[in-house]
Amino acid sequence: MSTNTDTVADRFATAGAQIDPVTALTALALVAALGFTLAFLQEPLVHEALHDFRHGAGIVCH
Amino acid sequence: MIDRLRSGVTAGALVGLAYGLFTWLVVSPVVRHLEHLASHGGDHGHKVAPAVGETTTAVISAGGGVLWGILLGAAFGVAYHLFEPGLPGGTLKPYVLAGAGFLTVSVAPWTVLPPATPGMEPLYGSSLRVPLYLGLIVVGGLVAATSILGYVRTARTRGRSSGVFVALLPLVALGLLSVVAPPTLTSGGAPTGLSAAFRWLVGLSQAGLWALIAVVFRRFDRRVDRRGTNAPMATARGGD
Repeated sequence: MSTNTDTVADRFATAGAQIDPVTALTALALVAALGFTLAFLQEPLVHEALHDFRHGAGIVCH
Repeated sequence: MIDRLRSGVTAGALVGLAYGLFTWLVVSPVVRHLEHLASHGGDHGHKVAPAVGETTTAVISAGGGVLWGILLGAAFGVAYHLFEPGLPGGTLKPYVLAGAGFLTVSVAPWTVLPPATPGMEPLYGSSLRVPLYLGLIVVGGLVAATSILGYVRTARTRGRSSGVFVALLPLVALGLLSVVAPPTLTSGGAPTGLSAAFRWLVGLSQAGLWALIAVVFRRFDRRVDRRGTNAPMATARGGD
């Protein structure tokens, strides 16, 4: 997209410079929360309601 | 980065909608049916007293499918932006990354914890399974990374076919892990043929999910690319 001579390290460096840590952490926390809820939450109501999805996606805590 | 994230989320949302529909129309009925079969096979205690009605389960599960697509799409977009320079394959890079994602998130955990057919009971509690699952995702990521790095390094010096050979080595190792790993599920009450079919359904649907994300992402990414070359100053970075 931008240049063809980029390396992976460059991409990480630019991302680190452009996005401040708080934003990155917030985004990461949101993603983790979503992933946790979908895949691991054992609370019976949630577990029952997501039952079919977890079976279908082959997630371990069905 | 933001453009890629946006492409990823859009692709994930579109594919997630399709996948949610699939969960609703195919997976839920199949799970119902298999559970019905299993519950006639004897003392099956998976659903002692359902806390939620079947309709709710179907609807929430479909929604879960949509969110799953969005989650994978977002991760795909960010990972694609960060690792794109290191990926082999030219214009097929999104497919390489999708394969790596499928390997990491699905295949690696399945080597030890295969998808449970309805009616099967896990042999170990979730306090053991969750860390194991997360650990296997890390293993899967390492396997995918070694495979891709191995291919890139070897293909550069010794040609493509030896690159492919080196790339296959970590995958074979992962396959061996699945042979060595002890069983983690009871056989359950469902017939063997049906449960094999269910596993194929699960595996193919996840592979399809990743493949579609790659297809849609590639389309959006190209559009962004074109727009970017036409008007390099118009960097749309709103939204946050």
